[in-house]
Amino acid sequence: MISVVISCVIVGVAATVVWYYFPVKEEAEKFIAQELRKKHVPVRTLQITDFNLGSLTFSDIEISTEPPAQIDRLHITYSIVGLIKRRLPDTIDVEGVRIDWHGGTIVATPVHIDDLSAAAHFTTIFSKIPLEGLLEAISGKDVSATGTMGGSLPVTIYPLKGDFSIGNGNLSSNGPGTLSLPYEYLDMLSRSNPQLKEIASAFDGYQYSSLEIVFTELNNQKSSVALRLKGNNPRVYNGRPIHLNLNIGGNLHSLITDSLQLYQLPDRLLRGVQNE
Amino acid sequence: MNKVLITLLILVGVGLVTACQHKVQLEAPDKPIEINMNLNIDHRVRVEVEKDLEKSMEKNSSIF
Repeated sequence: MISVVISCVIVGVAATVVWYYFPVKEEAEKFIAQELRKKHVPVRTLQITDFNLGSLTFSDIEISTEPPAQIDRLHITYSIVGLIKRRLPDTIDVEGVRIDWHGGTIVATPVHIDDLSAAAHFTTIFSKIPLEGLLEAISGKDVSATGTMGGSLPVTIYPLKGDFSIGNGNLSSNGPGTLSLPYEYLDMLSRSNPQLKEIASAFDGYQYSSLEIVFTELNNQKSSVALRLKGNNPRVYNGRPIHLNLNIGGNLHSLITDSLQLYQLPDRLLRGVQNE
Repeated sequence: MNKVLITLLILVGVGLVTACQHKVQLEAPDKPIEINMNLNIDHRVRVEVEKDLEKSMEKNSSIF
């Protein structure tokens, strides 16, 4: 979602020269598409629907993430002073950003940018996201889980730097469900302390009553993530409640940033093969 | 007299048996088991490999 909004900013900047160099809509679209390819922005479809003096409006933009991200409206305004002095748009408005994800949805609140050198804020809202898909995406491993998650995360982007930070927010389960953590995690848990071996087995077929993923903003744009699990496993310790608090720290910001950059790489390879 | 004695013996016997009984209760404690873990993520190696690949592609754009 962060990369989708940043892509919109790149579209806005790439479209800046269109206003006075390309008075014909089709030429402008062709030019913007070329500029986006140069900047490796994975936009699949992009159409100018409103081509007026001082403003451009795009609609139904599809960004080729997996699954694809849909943007209902991207509106960019320009002033002569802005074009001459900064060669940048004056304002960028992004509305209706949505990713349909495994039966759930991820939506961003409208983003208004009136100073590209300043921070812009929006909130990412998660609804009915399947826990299984979410944990597989985070861990990169096969996870067996039932239930869905919902919640929101505030995001701040720095348009010209292409940087971002995640504020305090959380995702929590919509109800009880079951969960089996990947074998590697269970093994790691039991190896960390031999006494935890039996307890680790509780997380294979664990019945959670509540599950929460908490993001906490730290200084210097660093965030920490905590997984809080409450529940039990009827097969372990006669079903005694077992709670897990897993705090994940380290250079998460760098991890997420690099993940966002990496998703563009297969697209580049694909284009290379297609051009061959 | 014998009846009174027998009745007394029975009562004393019952009393002794009752006194020797243990109450064994098998119940899971209410307090949950809490596990607190801290993980530190370091993904430097992977990123360096990817960045090397990126650089190679930029240098040798004719690869594709």
